Amino acid sequence: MTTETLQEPDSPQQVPLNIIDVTPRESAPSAMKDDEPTIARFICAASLMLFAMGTMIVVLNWFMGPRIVPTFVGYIAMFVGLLGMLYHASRDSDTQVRRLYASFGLLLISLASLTAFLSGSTPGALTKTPGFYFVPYGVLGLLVGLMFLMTFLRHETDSGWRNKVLGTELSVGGTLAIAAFLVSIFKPDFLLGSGLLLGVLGLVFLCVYIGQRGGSSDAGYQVGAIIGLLGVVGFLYAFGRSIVPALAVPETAGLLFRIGGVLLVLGGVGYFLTGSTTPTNTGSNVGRAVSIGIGALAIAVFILGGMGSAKVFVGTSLQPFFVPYGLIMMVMGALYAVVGLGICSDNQLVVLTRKELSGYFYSPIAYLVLFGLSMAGWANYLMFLQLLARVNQMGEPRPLPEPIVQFYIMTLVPVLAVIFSVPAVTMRLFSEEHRAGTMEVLCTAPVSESTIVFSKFFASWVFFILLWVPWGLFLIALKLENGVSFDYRPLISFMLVLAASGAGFISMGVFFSSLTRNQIVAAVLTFCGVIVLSMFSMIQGLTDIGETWRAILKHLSYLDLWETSLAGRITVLDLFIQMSFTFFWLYLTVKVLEARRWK
Amino acid sequence: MAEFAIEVENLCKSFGAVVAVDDVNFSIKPGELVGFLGPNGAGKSTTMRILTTWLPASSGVARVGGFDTMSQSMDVRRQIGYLPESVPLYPEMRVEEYLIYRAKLRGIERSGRTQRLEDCLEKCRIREVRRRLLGTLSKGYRQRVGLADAMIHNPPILILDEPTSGLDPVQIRETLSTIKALGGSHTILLSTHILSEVEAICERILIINKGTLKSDVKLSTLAEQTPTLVVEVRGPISEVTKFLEKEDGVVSVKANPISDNVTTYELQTTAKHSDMRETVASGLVKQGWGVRRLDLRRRTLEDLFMDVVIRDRGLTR
Repeated sequence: MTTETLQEPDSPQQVPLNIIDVTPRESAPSAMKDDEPTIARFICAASLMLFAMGTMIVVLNWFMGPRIVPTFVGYIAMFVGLLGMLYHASRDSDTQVRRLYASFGLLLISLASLTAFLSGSTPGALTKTPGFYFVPYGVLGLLVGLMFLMTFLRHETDSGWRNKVLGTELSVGGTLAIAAFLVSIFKPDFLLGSGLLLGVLGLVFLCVYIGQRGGSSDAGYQVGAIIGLLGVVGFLYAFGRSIVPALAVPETAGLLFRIGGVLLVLGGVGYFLTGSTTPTNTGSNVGRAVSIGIGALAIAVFILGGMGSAKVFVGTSLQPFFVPYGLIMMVMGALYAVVGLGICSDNQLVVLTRKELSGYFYSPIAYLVLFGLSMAGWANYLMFLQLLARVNQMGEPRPLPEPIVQFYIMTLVPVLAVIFSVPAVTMRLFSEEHRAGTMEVLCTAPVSESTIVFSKFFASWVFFILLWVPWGLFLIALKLENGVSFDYRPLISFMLVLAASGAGFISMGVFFSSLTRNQIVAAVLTFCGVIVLSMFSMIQGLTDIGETWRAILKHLSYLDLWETSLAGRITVLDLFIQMSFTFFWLYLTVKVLEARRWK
Repeated sequence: MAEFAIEVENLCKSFGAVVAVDDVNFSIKPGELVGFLGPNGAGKSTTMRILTTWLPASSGVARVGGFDTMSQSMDVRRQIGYLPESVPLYPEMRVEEYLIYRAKLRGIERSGRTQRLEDCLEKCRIREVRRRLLGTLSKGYRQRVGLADAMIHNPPILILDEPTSGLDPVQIRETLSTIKALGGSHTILLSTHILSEVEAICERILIINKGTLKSDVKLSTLAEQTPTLVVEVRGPISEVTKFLEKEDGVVSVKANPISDNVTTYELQTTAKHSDMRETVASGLVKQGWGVRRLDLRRRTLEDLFMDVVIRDRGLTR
């Protein structure tokens, strides 16, 4: 303790020089070393060979009839070859290689776009329709080309090339999206199949573009806003046209015009009022959004009135538009609107949901569950095919009664899939946050508990619904393979019911996840919960329970709800019961979170 | 603007039978840079968690920015930036992505967001790792990302729980300079048990031990205290002690014998006679005793800390 460490009494704030005066410039934490992608190049060579071989097999078989090697071997070789090439493209950052892949991707995309205009038909048919080869070749070509462009953008640093490729993505995506909506307006038949596919593809392209540019950048924000607007307009148009037959009365049209005028004035006034106060205030932003909403509603009302009075877009016949074309277009429009909202909105709920949903795709669990469910779907599809091809004792085919989709869903495999997938999807929601300690940082931000709970619920609900998409793809494959249509309309009611009962399961999973820090405990509790719910339908089939119990369990059981929906009936009461389950579990979860503040 | 940025009155917190915080009282004015010292398990993190509304108090009142942490929790959360001890981050997000997400959560407008992001990246020196996944960062970088997250919305009050734990000396220096630069315009409460850091940047120190606040001093007052005069003399203890006690200005004498005939004496003097080295030395030599060592020892922070924690001597004189 010598006098050298003393601080001078008259300047006690003087800081010892050795602590904070001289700080070095920031430098990168570790040295970077480029690695030689030798394995990737080897894989590339092998895959190129496979791809070329596969293409040759397919082309030869196509033009010159069946050869020794069957076509599907060629397809498999092409597929594996493409996978290898994609792997190499993502690994190798050499300039020549990546630009070559970019050109390959662009070539694929141009070829795929060409198929939209080429005419073709099934052999033996009388007329050729344009865009015959678009599904599946054009779609596949677009997707694969996009994947190569994505790997290119990962490595490319030259802004000239980047802008060209991004511009291509934007234009292709925009064209697909706008074409999907426009053609569907004039030719609703287009929607079923190609239209939906075009719309989804266009959305994928645009999302990749926004992902590369960055959601917070100006370009990303503007494109996101346009996507949202397109979705809203499409949705409103489909909605309007679905109820036009009821509006084809001149008096209604005049009334609608007057209502539209009033709403427009209200919206305009509101917009200017809320905009002229502090422009960067959240409250005024909400006010502006509400006014814009009122304005959009006014425009929609005007359009309805116009359509009702002029019957412009009704066409030659008042064919039923709602099922399925209106529904599909509304779904597409809603999808676009939701994606646009997700990109542009700064609302806390939207931000948290987006983060949770993208968090799903960063964890291996999501891909494992997706893979497992696809495998289960494949097994289910095989069993379904067996059922379709069943023969009676004399070898004659025994046809299944319509709707055949009920035999696709009401089997053991889908129920098991639900029982196992729901815990896997929801177990990590709150448990991981507690474990990692991020709950502390989340709860000390100005976010209300209900926002947190709802964001987790929405993210896992959307993911749960996405898990069932491969099952739908199997059915599409069935139609494409055979060309014979089956009654798909029960599927529409089933989707609604799946979403509702799924919400019930997911909210239960969210609740159990919030109770414990241990993911396994949460998973097991949810598993037991779903099993109990599944047992309801079995118990109500027993003969020795009272009638009231039977009725109660029948309403509560989700399997009965599935069965009635696949028969084409939707019982609104049962839907409400499922929704009330959802709110019940979510309410409990919010209370569990709030209870922390009183412990 | 509230009179006090942080106000704590009779705060108590028990986890079952364990009393973590026991009747703590302090107030921090806006703009102060306060260090929260204490051994491990003293109750620093618990107090900070109560202030950030993560934990409820068992009794007592805590007010941040004038808002009560129990009843006006949302308003409190808008005022603070919090860096927890364990710096929890989502391992699958990138640095930029995470900071933008936190900025959106805090309601920062789109127009200013990128600028704020760049500012924070610059100030916390994490520009070089902005595209890295959070799971791949070392401890030092994670701390810096956590600090950037705490400051991204420019909160008036920052509560930092051990912001330099686990950092290497260069990073400690940088982090402390960042915190000090934020000093006057923000109120900062940071907890640590490294005394040199506290001496470097804090104006005021709160020392907590076993849940009770033992000491609440300004560093300036600590420096202004009269130093102790230490003198090592060869001579008979009783006579030297009597002589020293008779000296003008000496308040008390403490004798510590080292070996046969050699003793160390610690003299407390009055404020007027702060430096009595020459008088004492000449007086002792005149008496014929050998002066082996003469020292003026100021009470350092370490002394205060040891006093408070080990000897448990309560508030300073």
